Amino acid sequence: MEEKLSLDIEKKIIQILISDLEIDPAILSTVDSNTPLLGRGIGLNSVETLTLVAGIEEAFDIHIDDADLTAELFKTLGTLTEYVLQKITEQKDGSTGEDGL
Amino acid sequence: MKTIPEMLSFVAKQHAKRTAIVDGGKVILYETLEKRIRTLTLKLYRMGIRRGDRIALLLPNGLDFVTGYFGITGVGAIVVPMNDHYQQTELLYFLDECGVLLLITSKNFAPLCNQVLSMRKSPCQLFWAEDLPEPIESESLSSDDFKVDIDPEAPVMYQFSSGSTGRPKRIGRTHTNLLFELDSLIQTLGITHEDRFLGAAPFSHVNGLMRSMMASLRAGATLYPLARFDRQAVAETIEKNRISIFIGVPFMPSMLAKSHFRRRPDFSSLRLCVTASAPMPQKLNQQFYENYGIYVRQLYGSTETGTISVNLSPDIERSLDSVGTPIAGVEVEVFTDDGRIAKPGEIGECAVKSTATIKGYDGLDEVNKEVFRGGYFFTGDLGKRDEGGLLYLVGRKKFFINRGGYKIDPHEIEEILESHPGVEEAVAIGVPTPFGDEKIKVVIVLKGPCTEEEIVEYCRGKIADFKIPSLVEFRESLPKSPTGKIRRTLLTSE
Repeated sequence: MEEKLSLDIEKKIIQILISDLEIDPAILSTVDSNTPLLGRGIGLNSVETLTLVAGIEEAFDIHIDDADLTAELFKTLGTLTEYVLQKITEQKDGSTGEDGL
Repeated sequence: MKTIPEMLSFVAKQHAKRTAIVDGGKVILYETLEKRIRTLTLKLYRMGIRRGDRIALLLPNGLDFVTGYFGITGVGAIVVPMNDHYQQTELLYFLDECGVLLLITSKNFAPLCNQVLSMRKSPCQLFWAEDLPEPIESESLSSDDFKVDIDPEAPVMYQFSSGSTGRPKRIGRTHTNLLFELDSLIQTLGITHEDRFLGAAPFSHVNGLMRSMMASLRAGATLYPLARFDRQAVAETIEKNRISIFIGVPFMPSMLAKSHFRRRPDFSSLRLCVTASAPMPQKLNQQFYENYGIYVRQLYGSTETGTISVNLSPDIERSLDSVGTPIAGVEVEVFTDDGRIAKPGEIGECAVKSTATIKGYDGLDEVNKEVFRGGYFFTGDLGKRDEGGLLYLVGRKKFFINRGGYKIDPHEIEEILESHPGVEEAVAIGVPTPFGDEKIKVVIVLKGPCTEEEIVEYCRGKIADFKIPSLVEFRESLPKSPTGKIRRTLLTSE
């Protein structure tokens, strides 16, 4: 069940990369959960990572802390997917437990 | 008050007990700020820095940047603010182009700076911001004891402007240029010492430097600098500190409009939200208004002229795309190709006349003849006016790529790419994004095996991350004119 959800999240993130960041679908056709999002991978820069994050927030109706936007989070498509899955679960459980914006 | 150091002293006396800067946990009064600055000035003087020497500043937005900037001007030296995203190639170019003797930076940049300085032919000292001297209380720092005669018509800072050809051009703006722009901005925007400025746009760029850092300090207002754009930090700073003026680049309010906060931040203290350097997309402006109850107003300026115009129209809903009318003391005309003033609705090149404008580029006589004519500076921007006199920008004559408000000369990227052993020819173009700016696409003709990833990786560390191409395309050949010139516009319109 969780595996299917992860796959759906991954697909949606790829869709956001195409629609919001206008990355050539041909480049994304070969990516998998091990593909790095920064550097020698999709090569997102700081502006693009924020654009992706805003797109993810909108698509999954979740909130992402800017403090979480580390290189580790964007290490691979898989690490980002896992994070989004965790956020969705927390939101469902109402267990975000954090104050502030 | 004819120079920048005189301005700082004047404001510091007038508003001594008011808060000048709140940087993280540090709350700095104007009198303390002046002491910090004068202590650095004295230190620089003792290190042998003199009038006209060039000192680079490679620091993020913050108290140290402000101290460094004014500390350098105090000794009559010229500030060279550097973008803290710059990498080896850019830093080397700008340090050499300006003949920099000393680089004030942070230890966070130590590996990069040490590497760059080891590659330089002429010597350049390093000064760590972490070693900035503590303010000296001694009387010897009073302005009567330590005075440097500074010519108001001498350059106070060097910045760079992307042009149609060659490398970025050096712009030397004088004390007179800057003071005129600041007074004009303050008058037009009605800025007072009661205002609280958000300093989110980089101070190394004309927009953040003049319209946030300098405008705030000139008015005796309070500046809240942020080292980088972080959505929650920006929203919290605006809400908690009742920020009244936020001047940034379109990407910033666009992101705030799109973001899902846990609760909607309260931006009711904002009386002015302004963007410059790229067009603000209408849809996101509308979304920003729906979320926060204020429209983003567009401002037009350039490194050569400073601020040109701003849209303060009461009929903002109908003129969201306009850059408004000229600020106090600035003249703007739209000229057609045959040299006459354009009629309303007719497109032409925007030309500016103002005391804030530079008199010319150093050592570029041919370029100067072309762009400085009849007392006007011809900006290369294409625009039109409506019947009510509001100015709209519609394009540009000069080719550059606008990435998040940074104007990038495509030749800079092409030069890097063409130094790759597998690249025969390369051309960089801008591809529009939904945020009103452009991303960088490079079209390459190969002479040896090479992948898209290798191209992107090759650029890393050589140029700033905002100049690294997002799209790479390989072709057999590039479209060219009969004289062999690459037809950039053909690639752009594809």
